[in-house]
Formats: sequence, C-alpha cells, structure tokens
Amino acid sequence: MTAADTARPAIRMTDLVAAELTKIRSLPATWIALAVAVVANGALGFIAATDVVRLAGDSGPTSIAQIGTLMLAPVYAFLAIAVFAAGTEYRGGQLRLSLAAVPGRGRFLTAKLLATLAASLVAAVLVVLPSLVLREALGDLGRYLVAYLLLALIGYGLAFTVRTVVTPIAVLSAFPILISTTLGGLWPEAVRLLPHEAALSLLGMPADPATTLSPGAGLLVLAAWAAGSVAAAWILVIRRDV
Amino acid sequence: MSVLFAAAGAELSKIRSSRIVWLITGAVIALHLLIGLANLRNTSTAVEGITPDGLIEIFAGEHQPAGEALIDLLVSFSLQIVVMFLPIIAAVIAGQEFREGHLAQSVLAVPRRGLLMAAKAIALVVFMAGVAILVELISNAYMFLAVKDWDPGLLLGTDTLADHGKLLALAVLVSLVSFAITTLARSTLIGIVVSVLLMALAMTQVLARTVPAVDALLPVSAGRNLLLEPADADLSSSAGYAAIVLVAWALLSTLAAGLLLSRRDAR
Amino acid sequence: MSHAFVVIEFKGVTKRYGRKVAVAEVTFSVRPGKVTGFLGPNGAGKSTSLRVLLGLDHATSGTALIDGKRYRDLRYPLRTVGALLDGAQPAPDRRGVDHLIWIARSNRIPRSRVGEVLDAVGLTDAAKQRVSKYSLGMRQRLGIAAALLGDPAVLILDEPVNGLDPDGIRWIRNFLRDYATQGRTVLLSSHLMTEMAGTADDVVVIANGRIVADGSLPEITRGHASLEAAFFALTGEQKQVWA
Repeated sequence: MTAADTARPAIRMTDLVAAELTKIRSLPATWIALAVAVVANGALGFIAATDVVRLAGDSGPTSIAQIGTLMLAPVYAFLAIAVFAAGTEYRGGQLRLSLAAVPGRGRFLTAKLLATLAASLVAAVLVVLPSLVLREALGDLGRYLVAYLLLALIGYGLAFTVRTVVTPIAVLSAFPILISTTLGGLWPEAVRLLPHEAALSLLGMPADPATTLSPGAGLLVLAAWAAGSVAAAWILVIRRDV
Repeated sequence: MSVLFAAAGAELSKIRSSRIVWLITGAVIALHLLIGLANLRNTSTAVEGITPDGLIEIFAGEHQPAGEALIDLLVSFSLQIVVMFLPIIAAVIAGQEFREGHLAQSVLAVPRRGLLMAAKAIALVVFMAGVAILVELISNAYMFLAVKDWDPGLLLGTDTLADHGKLLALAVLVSLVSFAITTLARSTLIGIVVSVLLMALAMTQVLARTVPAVDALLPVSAGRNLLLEPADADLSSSAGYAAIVLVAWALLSTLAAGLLLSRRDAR
Repeated sequence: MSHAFVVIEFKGVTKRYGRKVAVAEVTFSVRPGKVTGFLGPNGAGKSTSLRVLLGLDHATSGTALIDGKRYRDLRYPLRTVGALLDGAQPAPDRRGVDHLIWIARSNRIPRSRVGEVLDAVGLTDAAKQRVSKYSLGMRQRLGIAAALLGDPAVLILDEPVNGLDPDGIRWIRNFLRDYATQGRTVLLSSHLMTEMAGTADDVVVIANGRIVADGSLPEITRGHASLEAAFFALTGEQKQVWA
C-alpha cells in the first residue's frame, strides 16, 4: 500500500457505482432478460420492417408495426434488469450486507440508481437499435430510449417498495393486457394515464384513440410515474428498518 | 381415501391462511364489483329502452332480442373475470410452494408426491370454485338490479343455469392449467406470464383469425368457444370440441406437473 | 402410536448430483433410547443423507429405512417421525399458528396438539404473528414445534441449536435427553462439538460424503483429549481449509 492510497478519502461514488454494476452484471437474470428482449424486439422489428405477417384486424389486415402494445412488449423483459437490480436486495438479506458496506443510505441509493440507469441505457440501446435500423426509423431512437428507461425506473422503484422481484414484473406486464382492456372502455381518461398507455402515446402509437395523449403529455405522465416510483422507493429505504 | 382428504384439507388451510392469496382474490373481486357498477347504468338505460316487440340496443345501432342479449351480456361479464384473473390467483397459490424451501416442509408432511399433487389439485378446485361462484353471484346481482322492473325471472331460465355451470367448469379448468404450469416451472412469475400470454392470444383473436385450427387447441380460446354464441363472435371450434380441449389441457398439464414433482428432489 | 423401539437404518445410500458425489455408500443405524449425534464439517453430506432418509431427495442407489419402511410408505409419517430441516421453511406470509394447523391437518393430528407444542417451545405469545416477523431463533422454535406435533417416536433434527439463545440450547439439550430416555429415537446433526459432547450417546462421523466413524461417545473419543480432537483426527484433511 502506498502513501497515496492511505491518504485517499473514504469511498468514492465511482467505487460504489462500480460495486453496484458488478452486482447487476453477476446476476444471471440480467443476461436472460437482455437476451429475451433483444431477440423479441429484433424479431418484431424484422416482421414489422418486411411486413411478412399481417394480422387480421377489425378493419382488414393490419401491419404489426401499427399494433403498439405488441411492438412495446419486449420492454417488459428489458425492465426486468432494473427490477432484479432492486428486488434482489431483498433476497437472503442482501440489503443488510449492502448497507453494512455503505451505511449512508442516500449514497447507496444514488450509486444504485446511477448503476441501474447506466446498465439499462446500454441494454436499451442493444434492444432498440436493431429494430429501428431494420425499420429505417433511427430518428425515433431518442424517444424509444426515454420510454424504455422511464418504464425501467418505474419497475425499479416498485421493486424497492414491495421488496420482491415478481410483483413489479407481473403487475407492469399484466396491466396493459388485463386492466387496460377491462377498464379502457369505461374510463379511458384514467387508463390513458397508466404507464403503458402513456409510453405508447410518447412513441406515437396509442392503442386506441380514446386513450391517446400528445407525445409531450405522454412523456410528462411517464416521467411523473418514474419520479414518483423512485421517490417512494427512496423514502421507504431511508426510513424502513432493514 | 382418508389420507387424501387429510392432505387436501391441509392444502386448503394453506390457501386460506396465505395473506397474499386473500389480497389478490380481494383485488379481483373488487375489480369485478367496480366494472359491474360502471356497467350498471348503461345496462339499466338499455333495459328501459326495450321496445314493445322486445328488442334491445346494448351496442349502438344493434337491435337484438332483449332476453338473449342480456344473458349474453351476463355471461361475457363473468367470462372476462374468470379467464383473465382466476388463472393469476391460481398461479399465486401454486407459486407459494416454491418460496424458501416450503416444498420440503410439504413433502415431509405428505411424502407421496402423487398424493400431494392430487390433494393440491382438489384444494385448488374447491377454492377456485368458491371464487367463481362469488363472481357469478355478483354478476347476477348487478343484472338483477338492471332487469328487475322488466323481467325479474330472466335470470332463472334453464339455459342461464346451464351457462353458469359451464362458467364454473371453465373457471376450475383454466385455473388448474395455470396451477400446473406454475408447478412445472416452479415459479409464480412464469406461471403468471404464461397465463397472461395464453389469455392475450385468445382475447386478441390473433390466431383465431389466422390459424383457427391452432387457436381451437388453446385453453382460453376453448373457453370462448365453449361459452360464446357462434352468431355473436368469431369462434374457432364447436362447444363440444372446446370442452374436450379444456379437459385435456387440465388433465394433461396436472399429470405432467405431478409426474415431474415426483421425479425431482423436493427443493 | 407406540414409542417402542423404532430403528433408523441407512443401507449403502449414494447420492450424485450430476457428476458430483454428495454421499457415497452411507451405512449406519440409529438405535432407540439414545441420542445419536451425526457429525461432520459443512458440505460433508449430513443434510443430503437426512434429505434422502426423509424422502425429499431420491437416492441414486441404496435405501434408508425408518422402522423397516421407506419414509414415503408411512401412512401418516408425522406421527412416527418429526423432522427439522435447514431447507424446509415455513412460508413467510403465513402466521405461525396457521403453519402448524395445516401440518396437523395433513396428518390427522388433533388440533389441540398445536397449542401444546407452541407452549412447549415458548411461542404461544407469538403464535398469531406472521413468520416474516420472526427472529432466527423464533423460526427455529417454530420448526421444532412442527417436528413435535405428531408426538413422534423418532426425532430428526438438523442443526437444531442454530439461532437459539443459551436458554433455548439448554432447553433443547434436556428435552432431547428426556425424549431418548422414554425409549424414543433421536438423530441430531450438528457441527458444534461441545454441544454434541454434552448431548449425544452415540456418534456417527461423516466426512467427504463417507462415514468415517460410528460408535458410542466413549469409543469415538478414546485416545483423544476431547470429541473435538477426535473429530479433527477422523476428518483429517478437512481442517487444512482453515489453516
């Protein structure tokens, strides 16, 4: 050990982020989720670009590129990366260990959030890019990355809040199919504010005219969900006994 | 037999003492009550507007014989909850066993795995039948409120009762399929995701409109084929065929799950 | 259920996970009226042997019998055998009392036993709490309560003193001694030497999946300063891991 090493102040934020990135990287679930999302989105992108499969809709055959819920489906595999990053802290009491290593909970959460965002951003590029290239829609890259990251953050916050991995993924992926279809006709003005519908509005492919927001409004709603979810997680982790 | 009854009773007390099962079941029932309440006004308005020759306009522009149309509405109201949400409850029940070595505790109590699986299936059927009956009672209560001034006896027709029987059978069978898939995968998450996928395939009619022969073989699609009227909906098979498909799914998937449970170490 | 003389026999039990041999040709028997200690370092094959005995894992070859029968062939197994295992936990979102109730129902054990065993392990006041709120020691007590439910002739406890406070440890030691004195069979696994030396009559030592010693406590410790010294002499190469 050199003098420079011992003179260094405690632990730097970059060390903490690196530690959190190691946790994410060493989870098999991360890689499985990434593989599923990349393959699914690539396949959908290919089908949409070549238009080889058309689905019979109420008004004649529809290109799958126009079915927003289907095109957005891979995001629910992708967001498992962020959900696992947060939810696995509650498996076998890992959070106790994490907080023993970094007692400042705010610092721990900052590092974890940064690491999750970084990992999710890289993953999102890998998932989204091939499909957009195939569909010659690279101009949409920014919108897609924002929608993907915000949905991931919603799952991330939810995972800390409910302290499991299963519930956030199950709730987020089941809502578009179960809740939106049953309640969409009754209260479209409420359903369009749900994360999935807001994301579709942001991406400009809403499921139904009644649940459409402008892309800007979609972005705001989605960002509000993400901010609310992460804030709730933050407050709970700071206050709760581990 | 007494061994089986004891084991099934134990499985039922497990279901009843699990908080998460009650939370999810409560949420599903609450959703059903909410949707029913939201629909009640529309249905009442439609009933008030029944013409002297007995035609009702439930969907704008469509005039149909009132009695049949209302019963169809009643069935599809329950059907939606039964095929969409009951499999989720079943997956949660089945998945409880694969948390933190709980399965080992169950196998210690009932070491014959075939017996354990049979007991689990019986307990699930009993519980899910209870939930399904509650769902149907709620649907009926709302429909009664809507039609009581027009024809209070409408809900007691023989055909209507037969439909309730079919709904009950459907509820139990799709729940068994979801329970078996969760047990095979040993994961609540996979059980829920597969159930939702099967349901989405049936409800979006993707396969029914492209390859109906395949669609007819899926459990939730079979449920539609069993219960809906061919005149009102695109169906991919006859009701009889659908019944066979459903029973085969429930039996085969439960058997497969039981077989795998017997062969694997209880971890 | 009579408590007369139920013997546990391992006959050449081998268990492989893929290529890895967890236990090889494990053969020994456990006599009634005694506390038998099952000793070995972590990963030596104690839990695997017990899991095979209790029908949780399938042996690759060999058999393990209780009263001459496989565990799964006992009609109401919990009335003959009570077991506490590391990998058999109660579901966290259930209340402690509900955990015991379903186990009792599964083997037609009278409901009144639930209150009795809760009393015996000192959990009566915590019975209505969810298991997720229990401390490690309380979970261990709940596991012991579950094992005692059927008033079994055989008790099989895997690391029972884990998480127990000194009071609890003394309680379980006296309890097991009494239990064996009534002519029942007690098989106790542990890696705590001093604990075992104060409790066991007979000792079976396993290392690297093989039985390396089997006999009464005086036989095993003869020529050594203590059970601990005997243990290290028998399990030889293992200690170098810590050196």
